[in-house]
This record gives sequence, structure tokens and C-alpha cells, in this order.
Amino acid sequence: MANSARFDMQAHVRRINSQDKVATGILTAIVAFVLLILAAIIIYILVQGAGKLFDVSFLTGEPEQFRAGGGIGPELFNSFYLLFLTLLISVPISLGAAIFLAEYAPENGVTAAAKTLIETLSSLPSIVVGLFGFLFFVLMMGWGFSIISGAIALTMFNIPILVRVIQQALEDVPRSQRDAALAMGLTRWETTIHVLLPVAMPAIVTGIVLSAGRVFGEAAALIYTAGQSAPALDFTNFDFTSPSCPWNIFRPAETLAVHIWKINSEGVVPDLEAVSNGTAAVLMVCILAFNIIARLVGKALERRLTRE
Amino acid sequence: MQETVIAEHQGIAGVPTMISIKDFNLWYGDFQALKNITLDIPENRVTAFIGPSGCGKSTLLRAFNRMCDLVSSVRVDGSIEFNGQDIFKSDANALRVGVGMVFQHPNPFPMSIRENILYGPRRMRRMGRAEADELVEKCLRDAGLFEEVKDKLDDSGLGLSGGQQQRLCIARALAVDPKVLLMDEPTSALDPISTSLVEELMMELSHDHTVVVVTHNMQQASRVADKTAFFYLGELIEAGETKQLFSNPHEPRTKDYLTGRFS
Repeated sequence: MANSARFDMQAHVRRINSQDKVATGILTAIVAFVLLILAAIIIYILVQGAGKLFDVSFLTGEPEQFRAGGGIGPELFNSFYLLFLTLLISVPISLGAAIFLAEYAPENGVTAAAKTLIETLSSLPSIVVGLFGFLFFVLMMGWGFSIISGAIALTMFNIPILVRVIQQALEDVPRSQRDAALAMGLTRWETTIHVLLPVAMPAIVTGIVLSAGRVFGEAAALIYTAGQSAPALDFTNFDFTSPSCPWNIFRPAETLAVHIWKINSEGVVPDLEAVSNGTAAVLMVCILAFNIIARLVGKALERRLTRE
Repeated sequence: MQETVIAEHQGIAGVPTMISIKDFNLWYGDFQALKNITLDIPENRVTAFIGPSGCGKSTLLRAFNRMCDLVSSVRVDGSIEFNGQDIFKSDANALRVGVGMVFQHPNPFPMSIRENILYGPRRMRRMGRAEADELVEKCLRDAGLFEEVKDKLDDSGLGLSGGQQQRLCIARALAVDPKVLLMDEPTSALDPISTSLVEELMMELSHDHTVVVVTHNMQQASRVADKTAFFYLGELIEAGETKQLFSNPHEPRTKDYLTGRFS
């Protein structure tokens, strides 16, 4: 009797152990498959663009319309400048909206509707945002194809993502921290600024940098807003109305992602493929850098918070 | 202060009352968590609330500094007076400065040890460097933590051990000079050594603070409390001097609980 019970137990253990092994195997295979595809894409792009990736004249040179040997200098600068302006507008707005939603908003229909709207906005196709920007900022406001039109279109595209990330980061702050602050008689504002934001900061910064990666690689929202031409830039020109002044926010500004799209759809340069591959490699290295920076900064902030 | 004759079951004769609870009821939505509580908390003594989980002892403690307000479905009836003033008619943030709280899980702010202590007082007045240093040292000494952390005052409070964090939270609460210190199961997340440190602290602090502690640990109540109140299913069953309540409870339910017949 006792023997047979022990026998059953062993069979049961064998069975659940083999189930565990099978499950582990299947999950590992799925992950390996996904990683393989990703690695293949990344390696392909890097290998194809490797020749141009370390070519200074390509990274700083002007693009060519008809001849071979064009560079992506203005596009590289435009991408970063546009990203900077986008974050400059979208981070404060998102921070305010997220703080309101996480800490202040009463739980009622209006708040629920606002949250649903933000979620809807975050899944809006970027070409729709781009065409709206074209109609509204480029035509109606009369800003033309310009950095500011592009930056605001990207802001519309970026705000919902940032609001959700920041709101989540604030809501993830442990209940006990809130209790500690309130029990000392701190107002909601003091609690938010001095206790909740510092605790949530690593997650917020990580979220901002990751969203920066998305903005940096965005093309569809920019084709009809920031435009597809990159005027030659003169960094000694501080005439803010001149199209060659890099800081002029009313000049057209093609970015790296738009550049890839344009030369592949209507480019006539003979070295079209090399330029396209090189640009793609540069773009991807930048975005990889954003992701790595996001991790490093997030970890560093977290360490500072709990430093012994 | 009130020095009226206090009914025998109410507790310690001749000690002024710091918090006076009269016919107090509290509901979470439809659920009545506290039923007709009438109780006096004596000044500069340790009062312990005991009772099984869900008996309302923590709810009552959280009513004293109006942390219960944060739950939107809460409704109250009756009065709680602190220093002779109805707490539900005064400003909640001002009340919380006079009635400090220490929680079950240590929750220092994400700042340095020094900043944890100075944050509260700095909200209320300007302080010079010397005065600030003095206050930090005094609060940490009062919380029995100074010797352990004096060389790392600028390190994060979150880097301390659990027991140290809890004493830092006590020091932080003391920094704004509250009259009352509420402690919600302050040692249930601590090891035995840290627990006995915090227990000693409660008794020392009660020389010039009114301490109210909620505890699941009856031995703890008998060790530290001058007065003990036993709650069951939202009712105050019995309150009195700790020695008397533990050795000679009037109510059969108190006796059953103390002897472990239910928990």
C-alpha cells in the first residue's frame, strides 16, 4: 500500500518534471526565434551600411540630387534638432497631464473619458497625424513645410505615449510613500514634487528616452509637415529667417527617416542603395544608443536613490 | 485639562486626556467599521489597541490623523477631540503636523537621512546650518539611531536596514515636534532585536509624547502600554490600565481573546 503510493508519487514527479522541461523548451524556442529575426535585421542593416557608418564625409556632407557621393549631414542635424524641440514641447505637457491624471483627477466620467481619449490617440496611425499636421500647421497656420510643423506633429504623436508612461510610473510608487507624506501633513503638491516624482524618476527618464527613439525614427508624420528637403546649413548663420540658419524653426527639414523614404521612392542618384543603407545604419545606431542610454540612466538614477 | 472622574473601565485616573473619542461611528460605504466608540487617550502615556484582524483598531488609529479621509467612501459620525478641538472641523494638514504617524512598513522618503528629518521642519520655518544639524542629531538620538548613522547622514535613507529605517521614520515624525505619535503595528515587519529597540523607544517617548500603538502582539501591549483597549468586530469591548486588563478583565470576550480562545 505504502509502496504503491510512493510509486505513484514518483511517476507524478517524473511527469510534472517532463512537462516543465517541454514548456521551457518551447518558450526558449519562441524567444530564440524572435531574437534570431531581430539579430538578422540588425546585422543585415549594419553590414549593408557599414561602409558609410564610419565615413566622416558621408556623416557631415551635403546630400546630392543627381551625382553619387552625397552625405547626410543636414539630415543628421535635423533629426536631433527636431527631436530636441519635440521633447521640449511634449515633456512638460505630458508631465503636467500625467500628474493631474495620477494624483489630482477625481474618479469620474470625465477622467475616464480623458484616459480613453489618450489611449486612442496613442494608437493613431502616424500618417494620420502627419496629414492633419499638413492641413492644419502647414496650410491653415501658414507655417509651410517647417521644423515647427514637424515638431508639433511629433508632439501630438509623442504626448499620449509619454502621459501613459509617466502616469504609470507615478501610480507605481508604493502606497507607503504616499502615506508617509500625507501623514506628515504634506499637501498633494508637496507630496508629488518632493516624494512621488523623485521615486518615479528612473521610470520617467527611461520612458522619455525610449519615446525619443520612436520619435527619432518616425517618417510618416514628418513627410508632409517637416518636409522632404534639406537646405544646406551654415552654422555661422544666425539670421533666424534664413533657410540656411540651422536654428530657424520655419525652414524645411528632412530627417534621416524621411531621407530613407525619399531616396528609395524618388531618388535618382546613382549610389542610391549605398546612401539608403548607410542612412538606415546611422539611424539604427542612434536608436540603439537611445535604448542603451535609457537603461543606463534609469539604473544610475535608481542607484542614486538607494545609495548606501 | 479635564481631570474629571473617569469611569473605572475607562482607565487611568488623574491623567489628563489628549484625545477624547465620543460616540464615534465610521462606515466604509455600507460597512460599519467602528460602532459607538467612546474612549479617552491619556496624555504622555502609551495606549495600546489590541484585537483580532478586522476589529477596527487600525481604522480608529487612522481616524486620529484623518488618514481615513483618503478613502472616498468613508463616512463618520460622533466626535474625536484632540487638545479640546474637534479634528473633523480643523484643517487635516495642520492636524497631521501635531499628530505624527509611524507605519507598519518603514517608509523613509527617497532622500538622505538628514533630508528625511529636515524635510518636515523646513516646510514650516527657515533654519540655519547649525540649528539644522542640532535638530538632526537630537531627533536621531531620540529615536536611538544617531550612533549607527552619524557618519553617513548624507546617504540615502533607503539604504538602511529595516529596523534602522523604522527608527528613521520615528525620528522624522519627531522632527516636527508632534504631541501625539500614532504607531500602526510598528514592529510587525521587524526582527526581534529591532522590535525591542522600538518598544523601549515607545516607553521613552511617552515621557513627553502621547503614544498610541496598534499591535497584534499581546505581549508587546503588556510590556509597553500604560493603558490597553480591546476591540472586537468594530466595538470597543473593554479599556483600562494594562495591568488590570490583562490580569483581571471584566468582559468574558476580553478574557477569551487574552487566553487565545479566539484570535
